[in-house]
Amino acid sequence: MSRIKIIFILIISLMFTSCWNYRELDQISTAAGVAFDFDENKNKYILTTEIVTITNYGQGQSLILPEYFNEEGDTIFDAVRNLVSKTGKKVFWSHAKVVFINKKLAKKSILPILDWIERDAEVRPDMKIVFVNSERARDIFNTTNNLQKIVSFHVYDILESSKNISKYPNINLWQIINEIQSDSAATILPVAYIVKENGRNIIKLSGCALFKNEKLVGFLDDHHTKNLLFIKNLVKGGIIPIKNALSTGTDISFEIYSSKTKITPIIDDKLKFNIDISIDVSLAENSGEFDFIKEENLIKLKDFAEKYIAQDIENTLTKIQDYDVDIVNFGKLVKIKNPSYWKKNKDNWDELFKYVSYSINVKLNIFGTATTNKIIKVGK
Amino acid sequence: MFRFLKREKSQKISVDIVENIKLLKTIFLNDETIIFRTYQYNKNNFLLIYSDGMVKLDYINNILESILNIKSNEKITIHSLINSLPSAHIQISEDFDEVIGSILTGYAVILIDGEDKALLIKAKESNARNVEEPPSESIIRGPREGFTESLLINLSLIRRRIPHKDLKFLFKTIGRYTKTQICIAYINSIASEKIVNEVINRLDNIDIDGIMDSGYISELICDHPFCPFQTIGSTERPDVACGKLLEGRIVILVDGSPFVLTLPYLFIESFQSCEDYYVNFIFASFNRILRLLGFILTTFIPSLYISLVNFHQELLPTPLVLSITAARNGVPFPTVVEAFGMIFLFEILREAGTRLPKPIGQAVSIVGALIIGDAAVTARFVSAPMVIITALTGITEFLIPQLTWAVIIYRFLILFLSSFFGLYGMFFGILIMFIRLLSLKSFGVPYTLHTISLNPQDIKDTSIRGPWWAMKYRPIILGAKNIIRSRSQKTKEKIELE
Amino acid sequence: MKETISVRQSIFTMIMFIIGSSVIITSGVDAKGDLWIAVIIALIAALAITWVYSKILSIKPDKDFVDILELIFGKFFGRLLAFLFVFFAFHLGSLVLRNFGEFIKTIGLPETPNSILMLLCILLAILSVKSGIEIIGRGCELFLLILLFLVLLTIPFSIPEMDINNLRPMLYEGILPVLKGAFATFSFPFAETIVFLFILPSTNKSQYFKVYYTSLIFAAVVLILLALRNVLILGPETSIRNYFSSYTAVSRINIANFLQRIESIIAISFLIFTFAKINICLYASSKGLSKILGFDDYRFLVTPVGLLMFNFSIIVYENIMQMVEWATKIWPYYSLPFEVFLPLFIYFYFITFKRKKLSN
Repeated sequence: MSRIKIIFILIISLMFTSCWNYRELDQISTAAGVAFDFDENKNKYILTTEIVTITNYGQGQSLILPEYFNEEGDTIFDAVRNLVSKTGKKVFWSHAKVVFINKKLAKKSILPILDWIERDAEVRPDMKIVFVNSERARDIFNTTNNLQKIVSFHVYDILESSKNISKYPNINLWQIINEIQSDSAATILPVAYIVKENGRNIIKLSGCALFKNEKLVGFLDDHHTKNLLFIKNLVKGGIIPIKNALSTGTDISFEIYSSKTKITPIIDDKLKFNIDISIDVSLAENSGEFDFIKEENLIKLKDFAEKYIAQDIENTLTKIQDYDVDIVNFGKLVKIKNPSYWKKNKDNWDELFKYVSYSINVKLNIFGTATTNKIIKVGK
Repeated sequence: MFRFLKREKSQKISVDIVENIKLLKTIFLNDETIIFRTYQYNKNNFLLIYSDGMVKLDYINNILESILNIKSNEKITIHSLINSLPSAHIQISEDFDEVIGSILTGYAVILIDGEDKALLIKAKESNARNVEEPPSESIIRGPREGFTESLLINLSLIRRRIPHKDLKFLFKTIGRYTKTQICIAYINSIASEKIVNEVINRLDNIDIDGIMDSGYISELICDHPFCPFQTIGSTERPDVACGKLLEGRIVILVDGSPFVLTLPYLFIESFQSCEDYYVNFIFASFNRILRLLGFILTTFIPSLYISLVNFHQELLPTPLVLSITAARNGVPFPTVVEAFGMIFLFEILREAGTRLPKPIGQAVSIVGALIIGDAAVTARFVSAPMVIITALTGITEFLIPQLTWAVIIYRFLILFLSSFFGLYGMFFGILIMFIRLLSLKSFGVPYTLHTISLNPQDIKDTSIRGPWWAMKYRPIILGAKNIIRSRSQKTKEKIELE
Repeated sequence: MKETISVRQSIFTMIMFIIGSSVIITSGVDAKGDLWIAVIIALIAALAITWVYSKILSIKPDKDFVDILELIFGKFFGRLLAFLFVFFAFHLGSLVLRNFGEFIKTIGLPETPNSILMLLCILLAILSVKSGIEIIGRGCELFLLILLFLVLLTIPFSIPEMDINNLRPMLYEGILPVLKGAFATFSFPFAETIVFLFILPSTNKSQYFKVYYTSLIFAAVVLILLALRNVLILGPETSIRNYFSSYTAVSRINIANFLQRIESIIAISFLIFTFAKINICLYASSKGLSKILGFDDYRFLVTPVGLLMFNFSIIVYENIMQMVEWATKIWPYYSLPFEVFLPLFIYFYFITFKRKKLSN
């Protein structure tokens, strides 16, 4: 009997406590994304959050629309919590997909944002960070499209489609944290542009922003970004266009199916990196008079294209070297290959990196020509 | 054959028949179904007593006829009567109480003047129900016979299936007023003596006024009367009972109840159906797994829903969060209240449906489906996902009818805990359930025996049903005496007893 | 009737105990990316010391640990020594209980007071310990394989997120951090199995060393796999920065945007693993205490000991920072006397002074 009494007392005492972590789904406001700006005059963070609202109409129909709130605070988390004074309900971050940042913040430091996302148990570290090439990051929410009303989800979709185009990086926040923590301390973020088209603002993702030690140092355009992704072994698809191939006046497009990159450092008195890239492609376009599908032409084209791509990638590497950001994380490779060398030269790696040389080998495996085996002949 | 509950003094039958009649008349005062007939034949006074309605009158007439046909001038004694009566079931008693008991259970009793013994002749009218298909355990493939209320018919159903000398039936009479006959059946060469003795011991300790159904016995001798998990099985099917006997279990049959008890009863038996053994083993195993899944779903689904929706929203995919939010918009009650209410309502509907005759039962389900399912959602009293959860809980509950009671209790417990601590509370509840399950015993046998083992010989009849040629051994604790069940070439390997 | 568990069950129980809180809380973070080497070194050391443990128990295989101590050191000193071990088990139990509370508070239920969760956990532990060692053994047998399956299932799922370069270069900072990590891993969780001196006499066969080495090796393999997974996913820096690196590592699994957010598997397995560890500590301390005080049955002591454990676990740390500080910095040295010095002392005292006497 005494056991029953104890159980009863326990149940009653549980009943009288408030339900600590209990929260109803309709009592929280789900954030889809957030834009951070930095106001230098006030020295405050300005946060704009996109909240998903659901309106029911009719029988079982509901409409999902975004709602935006601005708020400022002395720290990131202060700004985040201040939102409650406008939303009424506590903002729920676990389903937020994208963080947008503007130039000022990027130049100051992205660490506060990384820290907030990583430390807070509610915010998930597989969010994406996108650099917005605009005065204010929150301008991104002023765009319209009918594909996906929630801008953050739309950007997320664009990012996820990166595997078909490879012109902007799609990396998770925790990968960025890892990169910033690593010895070379550099990372890239995709860049979003707000483009006017048909009288409305739309978003376009293109290229990447380079970060060194949590600060923005420069940009790469979409072409260079693709080459960078080749080196970083992140290319999963996309197109390699070659205009006027072999001076025949015919344009060629290769569709990338997979790509694999292997970098081996050679440490002599001078640092050198062997970059072997092997790309599986198919000839997806042959727009011109010249028939590259013919065996002997194809071999020529292959040789040409390999050199062309290698040259292209080398240009990109030179550009990166100019910025002096070891974005490919060559440092780590040196560290693995020769730890003692790395220990000696760790501190002047920036200097060393400027003068490393590369030898780039591209191997193109053309395994198909899409659905046709002949070009279109213009009948005369 | 009757061993009544021990009384302090048992009265002997008197030599004087008049005294006997007087005594009997006072005992059966005001009971007009008891028929007394005194006969005088060849200077012998004898008395025939029987209870009207309990005996078959043809028998009585036969007996009388043969008595009257005795052509002897000598004094008839009990022993001479035995030899001349055309009944196989005759016995002699000196005990007055036994005589009374016999009269009341359908015997014709003959008392002879000058003898202090009575002759008990079985003349029972067996007006039992025919052997029919049991409604509680209907199957598609398998024998269509079911136990009836008559103990003897039930015994014959078992005996016919196992005509072996080692099958033993042990009778007992329980109930001060009802004097119900019960029978302990077991196979001597398989069942463990320890368990048989334990059962007999527990049955001997019962002191109750009456037994109406085997459910009484079940509750009186089970190990954990407070526990919602049943530790004694019951079945209405002779094939199931025989299967259990062959596994070394003990079967208790109770007169007047078509449900026989099987024990020891293990947790895993709740998931077994007799049909599993008659159909293809792959299909049977699939059904087993479905039932296990049903148990898991029906116990945990509501609390899982509560945990995910109210505590760990981050674990749900974003589109699901949005659609649940849309469904919950405007619903006045908290999800927990919704859950408790809906599940409780479902139990009400279930109970209402079972007790009612079939045509009204349908009305109940219409009310349930229409009012609860549709109208309440349209009126935004409850959210649509909650209805789905309740329906899922309810349907899966029917997969394991043996466990319904336990499942309901633990479902509410786990739901309660998870409404405070989310997933963590849910797993606390599951731990409570498992600690309880693991500490249960059925007649000295661990309740979860074989359920948790991964030994291939143990698993063959738990979550899957192994093919018959693979089920070589009986469960070790139950049938340790005679472990080999089926013989194939491979069976010759040594059996390791732990 | 003496309760017994089978050898298999005691192996399973010990594996549960060793993996216990290590599923979540990584010990030996000094070793960074070379943690798996540290685990192997710690395993070798642990095998050596557990050989001593099993030798102590083998002095009188049918007797309890406390009885053996009494045989060697006499009634008073034997019980005094036994009391030290009981205190160790008790202390360990309350630390694990606190870990449990802090984990759930940090990860899942930030607004729920963790004392409530710990109270619930200890009440459950009291319930199951009162049901006896058989129940604990069978429970471990039931849960271990299911949980291990779930925990190890995360490894193939996380292969896409892994980067082999996180492991390289091996031994970049020299062998010293690895040895430090090995030392930490040795004291937590391997040598904590000293608590099993109270439990193993309940095994139905006295193959103590078999139990020890089987479960140590098995558990070490699991720990190595988990350490590798964490480092490969998180990289050495992040994996030492997080309080609960396993949880963080698994939260990164995302297969085709479908199989994601499965870190609750880790949380739940932690809950059950830790629960088993608390059970074992509670059983050991109340069993030992009842022996010291001269009672036959330990069951009536379970509730007071359990509630004391609960109280102790609340006052033992002020916050999670202290907890981690204690677990990584102080615990290895604090536990050393209980895990190494005292057992060695007992065994060598026995072979030098008492062996002949007792064999007569």
